[in-house]
Amino acid sequence: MKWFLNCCERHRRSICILAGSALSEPEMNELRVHLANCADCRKYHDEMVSLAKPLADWETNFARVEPSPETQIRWAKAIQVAADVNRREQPVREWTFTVTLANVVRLSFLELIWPCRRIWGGLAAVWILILVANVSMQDRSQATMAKTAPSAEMIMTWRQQERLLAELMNPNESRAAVPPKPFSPRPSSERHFETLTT
Amino acid sequence: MVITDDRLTPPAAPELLARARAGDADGFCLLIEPLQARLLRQAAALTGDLNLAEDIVSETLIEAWKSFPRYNESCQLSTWLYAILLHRYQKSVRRARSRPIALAWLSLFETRDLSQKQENIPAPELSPAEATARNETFTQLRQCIERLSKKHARVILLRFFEDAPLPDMAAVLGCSVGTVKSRLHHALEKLRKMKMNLPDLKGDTQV
Repeated sequence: MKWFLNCCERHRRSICILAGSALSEPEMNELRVHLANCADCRKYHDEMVSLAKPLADWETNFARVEPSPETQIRWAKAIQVAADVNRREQPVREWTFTVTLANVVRLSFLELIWPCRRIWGGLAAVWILILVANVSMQDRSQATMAKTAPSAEMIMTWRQQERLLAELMNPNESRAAVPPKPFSPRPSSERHFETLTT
Repeated sequence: MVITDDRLTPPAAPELLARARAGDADGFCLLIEPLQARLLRQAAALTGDLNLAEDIVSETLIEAWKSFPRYNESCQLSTWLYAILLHRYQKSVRRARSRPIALAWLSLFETRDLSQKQENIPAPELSPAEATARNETFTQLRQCIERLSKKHARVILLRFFEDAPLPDMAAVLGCSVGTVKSRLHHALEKLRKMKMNLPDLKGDTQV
């Protein structure tokens, strides 16, 4: 929004692109109208043109640079040597190229991760932050629990005191509160003997 | 073979492209032959040294041959070659910097003795004063470009040294045309600011 409102800033971008001879015709017409009315942008335009001129005319400084025939032959030989080496290595390379798992990883890295490495980097940073926060919180809670937890001896003492207090308060209830023996099935002969004795 | 200019003429291109794709090194040499002179001039403009330029062009052509199956005609062949040339140049600069003593490559990033370096480059057909003034201006601009970030320098070099159209630049750089425009704007803006800080270049724009 600010960019659209700042008219000169927008046109200065166009001036730079014009200095690089890459401005489209409609944009150029719009810029011409603006330059006719804005002295600051005209000055900026002149500066940019004077900056770009030596860059655009670079080739005149090197107009007489030509590769000699010997140099061209040397380059051609270098390419031939590279081609021979390539031909010799090609079968092995093709086999390894199709088979190796490392290549799959490499290709997927180049195709998927490398083009948007900033996004992946950002996500990795977020994950690392979450992990660090998680680990630090876990450590703190464990430390506080370790600090506040009573020892085993203390717990035993508490239980004894509790039982003693319960017995003192209600001696009958405490006896009745003794848990019943678990049911254990007995043979019928034993049960018959028991009824006879009673 | 009908090749009249530095650029490829359309009738010759498909046949030679097919031959080069099929692994024919001679076909590839014929394909790039009309582009070699301009490539050497571009390398000389980058390095400022003809011998180094020849070495870098040699490396570029070998690299282009190796990766020619990946050339998908999304941009002109000359632009594609120039992108490889830029990559090789930046790699050689990096390599030279990483070595403690590399006399052969020292001149790649030494800017003080540029006048000595350019001795082996034939001077243009101008008056000596004009040629010197042009050289100085160009050298200072090149120093400014070297101080730009890699992506901005690439945009400037592709646009002005290769004269690549915006869609080709976008294809080579792997970004959109809008991004290329934006980078061009920022790069030229930075160059303008650098130029304002260079007193020698201030009044030297009429050459």
